[in-house]
Parts: sequence; structure tokens; C-alpha cells
Amino acid sequence: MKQINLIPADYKQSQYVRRRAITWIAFVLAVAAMVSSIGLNLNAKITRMQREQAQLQSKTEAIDDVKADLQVVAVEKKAICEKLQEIYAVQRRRTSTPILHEIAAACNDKVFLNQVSFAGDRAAPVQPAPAGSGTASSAAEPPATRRITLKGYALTNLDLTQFVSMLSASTLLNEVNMKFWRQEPVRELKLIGFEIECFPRTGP
Amino acid sequence: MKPNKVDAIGFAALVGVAALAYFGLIRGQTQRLNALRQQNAMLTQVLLQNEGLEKELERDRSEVAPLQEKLNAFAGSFVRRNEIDAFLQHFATDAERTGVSVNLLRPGEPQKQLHYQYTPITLHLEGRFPAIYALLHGIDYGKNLAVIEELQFQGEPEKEIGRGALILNLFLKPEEASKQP
Repeated sequence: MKQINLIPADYKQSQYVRRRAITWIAFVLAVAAMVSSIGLNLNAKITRMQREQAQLQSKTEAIDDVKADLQVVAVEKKAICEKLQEIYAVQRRRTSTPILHEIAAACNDKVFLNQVSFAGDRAAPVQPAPAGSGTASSAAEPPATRRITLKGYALTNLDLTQFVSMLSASTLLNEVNMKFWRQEPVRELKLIGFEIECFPRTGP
Repeated sequence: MKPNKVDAIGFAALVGVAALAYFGLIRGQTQRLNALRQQNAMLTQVLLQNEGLEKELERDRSEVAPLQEKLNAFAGSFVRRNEIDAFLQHFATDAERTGVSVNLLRPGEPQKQLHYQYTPITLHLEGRFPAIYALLHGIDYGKNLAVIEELQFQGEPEKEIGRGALILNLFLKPEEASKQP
């Protein structure tokens, strides 16, 4: 077989080496360019993420401010509610006149009272609510222990029974108890002397 | 130079550039990017969790205003310390008008309740039941916040009068409640 040399006669070894080197340099430069583009792309992404993070952080800081405001408003609201509840509780204790009215209406000219007393509902000692615990209702009004005592005379047993029934039916009174009744002579009349104990109805 | 040597140098340069780029640039940036992504995801989650807080704040603020108005509306029902005398004078005038004799009128030391203070006032009264009732009605439905705490009346059938004692608590202005009695 005959070998044909296609390489031109003037083509030298040094030219071949130079071309090969140029090819490698171009290849390396291409790879470097590709890597640089990847790097630039990553850098752009990082910049975008950093901007996004800055925005998110500013929003988070705003949320922190909102949380602080919310806490302040909640404390303010709680304090106002406690004060209002206390006022309402005090107002609910203004029941003396309506109860006297109910008692007077129940007497019905056949029952005569010679003693009326409302006693025992002393204000509870001051107990400040512990911070952060409970609501305004925990600092509630003192328990209603006011006792109403009625002493007097009725014309007949029936009148006394009706009086007690009317007191029991009253929406303002609770636990109407007849402590005692007995026949007593008053100004040559035989009347029914009695003592009744009841409690004001408390509630919202 | 031999072609094989050129190839070796070229290959080494290529590997060097690739390695330098990966270890010096790409790996670090990728890690940084991942870290940023994680941080952003966490921040987004926090924001999502607290999404309704602003609305809640607005709602709470809108609730506080009417409550404050309600509280302010009660301001007039409290008396100032220096107004107690005027209240008692007004009470004595009412008693005279209704025909009730005031035998004793003694304000006590201010007592502290939860947020307010009140002055207990001891009264000894004498008069007919309708007159006493009218007087007590004036306390219960009066402008000032006063509560009848204790009441004891004894009747005298011969004279048709009642004689008794009552203790009423007169509430003081809230700002005065902060002062110690």
C-alpha cells in the first residue's frame, strides 16, 4: 500500500503545535466564559435574594411593631374592661330602693313591718389581680352576702303566707326564709308576729 | 514543543480553570444562595403566620375607642374629694324637702376598691317611710355613683315614723383613686 502524504511540504511542526495550543487556549477561555456566566447568574440570583430578604426583614420588623402595638392595645382594653366591669358591678348593687318597693308592695296593708335591715354586704378587701392572669371577671365583685331581715306583724296567717309568697315571687329576692312566726297580742289584737330573712338576687 | 505536551498543558489549564471556578466561585455562591433561600423561606413562614395581626390590631383599636367612650361617660357619676361636701349638702336639702330628719351625717375615710375609691358615709335618719323611700330612691337613681351598703330601720307605730341608720358608699373620681387615702 502506498502512503500519500497530504500534509503540505511547508507545514512545519511548530505551526502544528501553535495551532493546537491556540485551540486549547480557546477551549479554556470558552470554559472560563461559561463558568463566568454561571457565576454571574448565581450572583444575580444572590442579589435578588438579598433584596427579597431585606424586604422580608423590614416586613418582619413591621410585624414586631404591630405585635408590640397589639400588646399595648390589649393591655389598654383589659384595663378599660376591668374598670367598666367594676362600675357595672357597683351599679348592680344599687338595689335597695327597688327591693324596698317590692317589700312595700308585698305588704298590701295587711302586713306591718317594724324593722327592716339590709346588712352584711361589706366591700371585699382589695385584691389586685395578678399581672397577665385572668380577665376582668377574675377581679369580680365581692360575693353578695347582704342579708335582708324583716320583722313585723300580719293580721292573719293567710296574710303572712301571701306576703311570703309575694316576696318569693320577686325577681329581686332570693331564698326567702321565715325564721319564726307566733301569735302576739298587740293593742288588744291578736296579730301574727314574724321575722323573715332573705337575700338580694345578684346576677348580671 | 511536542504536541502531547501542549495537550497536557491545555488539559491541565482546563481542569485548573474548572476547579478554580468551582471551588472559588460556584460552590461558595451556591451555598450562599441556598442559605439565603432558607432564610427567606423562614421569614416568609413567619410573615404568613402573622398575616392577620394588622387586621387584629385594627379590630382591637376599633373596639377600644367605644369602650373608652363608655368609660368616659361614667366620669360624671364620680365625685371629687372636694365635691363630697356639695353632695352631702344636696342630700341634706333633699332630706329637708322630703321631710326626713338627718340626725347624723358622718363621712368616713376613703376606702380602696379595685380601681376606684369610695367614701363610706354613715347617716342616721328619722321620718315617714314614703319620705325615707324617696330619699333612698334619690341615692339609687341619682347622678352620682353611690351604693347603699347597710340599712336598718326601726318603726315606731305610735308616731308612724321610722328611725334608722344607713351606710352609703360614695365613689370618687378614678384619678383620685390612684392617690392613697
